Amino acid sequence: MLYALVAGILFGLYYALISLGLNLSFGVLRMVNLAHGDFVMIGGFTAVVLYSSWHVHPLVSLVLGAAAVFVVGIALYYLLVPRIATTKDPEMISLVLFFGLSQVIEALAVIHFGNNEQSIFDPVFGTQPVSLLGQSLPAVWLVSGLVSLVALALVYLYLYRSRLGYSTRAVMASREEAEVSGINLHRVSAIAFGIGLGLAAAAGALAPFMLGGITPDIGTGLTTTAFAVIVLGSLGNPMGTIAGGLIYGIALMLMQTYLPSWASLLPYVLLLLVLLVRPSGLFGRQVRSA
Amino acid sequence: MESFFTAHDIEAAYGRLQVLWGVDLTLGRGEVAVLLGSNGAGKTTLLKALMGLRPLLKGEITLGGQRVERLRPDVRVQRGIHYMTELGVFPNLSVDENLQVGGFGLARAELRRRIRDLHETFPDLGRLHTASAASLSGGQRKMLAVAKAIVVPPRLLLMDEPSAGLSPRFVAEVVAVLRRLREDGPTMLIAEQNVKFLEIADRAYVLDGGRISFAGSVAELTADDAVRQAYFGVSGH
Repeated sequence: MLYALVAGILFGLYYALISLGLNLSFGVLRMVNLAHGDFVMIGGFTAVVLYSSWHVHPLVSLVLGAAAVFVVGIALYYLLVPRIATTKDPEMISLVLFFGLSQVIEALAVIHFGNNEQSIFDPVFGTQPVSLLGQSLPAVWLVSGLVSLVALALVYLYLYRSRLGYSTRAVMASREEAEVSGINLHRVSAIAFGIGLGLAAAAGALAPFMLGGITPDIGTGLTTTAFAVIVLGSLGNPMGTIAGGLIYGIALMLMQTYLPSWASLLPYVLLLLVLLVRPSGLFGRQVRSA
Repeated sequence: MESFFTAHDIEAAYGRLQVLWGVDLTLGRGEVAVLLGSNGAGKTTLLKALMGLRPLLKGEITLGGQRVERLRPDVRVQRGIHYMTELGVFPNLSVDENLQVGGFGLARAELRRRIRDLHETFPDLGRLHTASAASLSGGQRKMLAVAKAIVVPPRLLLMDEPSAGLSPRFVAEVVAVLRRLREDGPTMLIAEQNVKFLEIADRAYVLDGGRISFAGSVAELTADDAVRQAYFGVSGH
């Protein structure tokens, strides 16, 4: 039981890292990026390719991949979002467009990498397990937990301790009020969108270890999981995602320990339960005032 | 007085529903005008159109002789047109965070100095500077909205129903704050239903069904029978 709880917390932090970017971009754009999981996949393949070609350590790949995808995210924002925003039904158009983008990314990944699972099999984080609260755990789980914590802390500092972060939270509260307060909506939204995708790519660099491997079609499932996590924490409230991730991680580990054959259903069951019982999420009161 | 802000022949619509027809406004530098009108008269739409939040079907807007009707709302703010909406604040941000957002473009030291000044002008905000805007009372929230709109001194301040949802005591406080504010000289256009704001105004406009039905000085307005009947609840002589 304690093992499942400790492992659940570490995996919960990891799932929070995967999901946080989706919530950040939803918060500023009010659009669900259905291609979010594909950027986790891109981060994963980046780490695998850099390691297999030049033995670049996955943590270095994590930083490089996140930075590169951040820049790509900003370019992608300016390419897609301002056009969607001027349509009559931006939410619906964005769903279709991001779904299409997801399919294109996945198809390109299949062409380039094939359908087989790829991973990093060398013990880059050592061979010895580490002990945490008396439980023996793979070292990479602890590394993942620490990396996720650092990334989440950086996002917190950005949102709550910087002027750009205040503007980002202002846009999350009211785009119109933000605009008439002198905030350049596109600049702030593009940066938040870029950070969101960068976080996904960062999480991807750890996916070969935390998820066992990477395949081109992993993105769709990860987007669903991320969506479940952010609905659990509450849509539009980035810091609620951390709580959502922890609840999801612990529930997943408990399911894998006691009901392993049902574990893959967890994201869907949680999503349905939250939407039926508390549609605004566990931290729903903060959605409108996030 | 030489005109500083002009809006000429403004027409705007929501989808196919036109709500403003040929609206003309003129304000001199430092002048305060009240835009009176009942609910649904088009006051908010007009302010949004002046701010660039509603596209114009036609019309021209100038500030200090320069055309601004094609500029994005945030660029209009940089040009000195500030807009206090009915919401006016970001409820998820603290008092000081709201003021920081209002202080776009100011250097860090200058922004700190301005926020200190505003804490002195609005003591409640100084006392509650770390509190969430959502936790403020209606009156305090309105003060924060005014303060946020003037962190960077505006050239033209558009205000949407500053008395909305306030008790008469708080309305009087808001009027007192605006009376002090007009000494600093920003030109103001205040959309209101409450005639108390005429106390601080030089000019008045009445918007009726999306058209200007009266334009003139406050003295002329108070002498107008139709307006007296509609807004002051008295008729004739």
